[in-house]
Amino acid sequence: MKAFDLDRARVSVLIREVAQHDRAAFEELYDRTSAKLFGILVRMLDDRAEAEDALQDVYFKIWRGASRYADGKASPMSWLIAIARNHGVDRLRRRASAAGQITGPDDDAAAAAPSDSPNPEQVAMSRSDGMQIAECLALLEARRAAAVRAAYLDGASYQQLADRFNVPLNTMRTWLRRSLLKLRECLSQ
Amino acid sequence: MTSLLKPPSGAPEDDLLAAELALGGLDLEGRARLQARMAHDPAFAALVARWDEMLSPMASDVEEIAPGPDARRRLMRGLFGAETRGATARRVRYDPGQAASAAAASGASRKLAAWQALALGGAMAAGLMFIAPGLAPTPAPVAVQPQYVAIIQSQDGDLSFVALLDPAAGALLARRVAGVGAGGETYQLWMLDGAAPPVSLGLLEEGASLRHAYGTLPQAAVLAVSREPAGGSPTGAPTGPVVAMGAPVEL
Repeated sequence: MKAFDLDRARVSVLIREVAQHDRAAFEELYDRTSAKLFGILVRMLDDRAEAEDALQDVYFKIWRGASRYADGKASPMSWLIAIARNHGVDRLRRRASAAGQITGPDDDAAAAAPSDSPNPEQVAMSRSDGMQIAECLALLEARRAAAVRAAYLDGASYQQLADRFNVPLNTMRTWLRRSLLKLRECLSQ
Repeated sequence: MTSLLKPPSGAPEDDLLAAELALGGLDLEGRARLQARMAHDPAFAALVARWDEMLSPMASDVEEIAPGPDARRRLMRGLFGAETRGATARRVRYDPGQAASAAAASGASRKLAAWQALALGGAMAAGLMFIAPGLAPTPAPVAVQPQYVAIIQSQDGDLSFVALLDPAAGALLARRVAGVGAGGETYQLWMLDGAAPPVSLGLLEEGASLRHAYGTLPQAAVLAVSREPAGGSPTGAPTGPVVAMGAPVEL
């Protein structure tokens, strides 16, 4: 089951029902969406046990926050994914903060940093909903596209990315800001 | 879709900050600042939501991983306090006997307890009172709904818990704010409603907030905290001393 094969309309209805404190709707929502959100959390946290704890927090936030979705215009999976990602990133930042290693280069990651050559992973990405953004990512310089993906999917911080790609922090921030604007421009076409 | 992607007319710097928050690269402090801004600045929150929407297809190639059945049970028990009732349940309700016996019977009860009690360090609680006159059984999330807070204290005031009831969100949160933990035991939160048996609202574990789904309250309900064996009362009713009580007030 692919995330974007989910019946979006059904998920949207379920979130609105959860906003009315409908337990049955909440259980169905969990059954339809938890594998996607758990996959995101496992990838980001790289620790299955912590990802399971995080998943509990995420669904509690969904329970509490469903009325805000009902008021908004977001598409259902985007809203759910944002909750999961935000929680995952916050956990990663707290983890780094607690370990006192907010900076700290990642040598392994630096060795694995992609070159400027075309990125096969991006070119090969072919799922329909991800395809358009993949095509737009492929238009970016490969290292910048890799940085965007590492920030979004792995929850990497600017500092971690700066270390990994061996550029100053402000340069990395500029890379990502410009890349995001280019992505939007590309997606708007 | 196109309208979602159109650059906004507002300040470009705000748009970039929203993009950065959605992407996730900021540090803890930077994220917290922008998240706080979202709470009181709807225009900024809308910018963030637009970026969330635009970037979310990137998650489409993340492999789906089914969480274990225990994760589902923990979640549903933590929120609803009982085993899954099935697709016909339409309303949040408590079933303390069922929840307690399920927890006692399960090897996962400690994990469950850990989550259920995501709030309190450990205190003995005796009684919280929620007074929520006129609450509809399942209040619709319209406009501003009243919220209730209860300070649950021991007689000498050394042990103190705070509980927030948010009917609009269908949630109760509680944690210990003063006093010492329950050591190898645990504090358990109960709702008392006249002569009816006490209803467990979950365990108040060290260093975490208790979270419970709660859409309704009987009028004149009282909350209490008792000291119980690790994992919670084995009988479904309070077995240890009541250590704190309190009455809710509307905010």
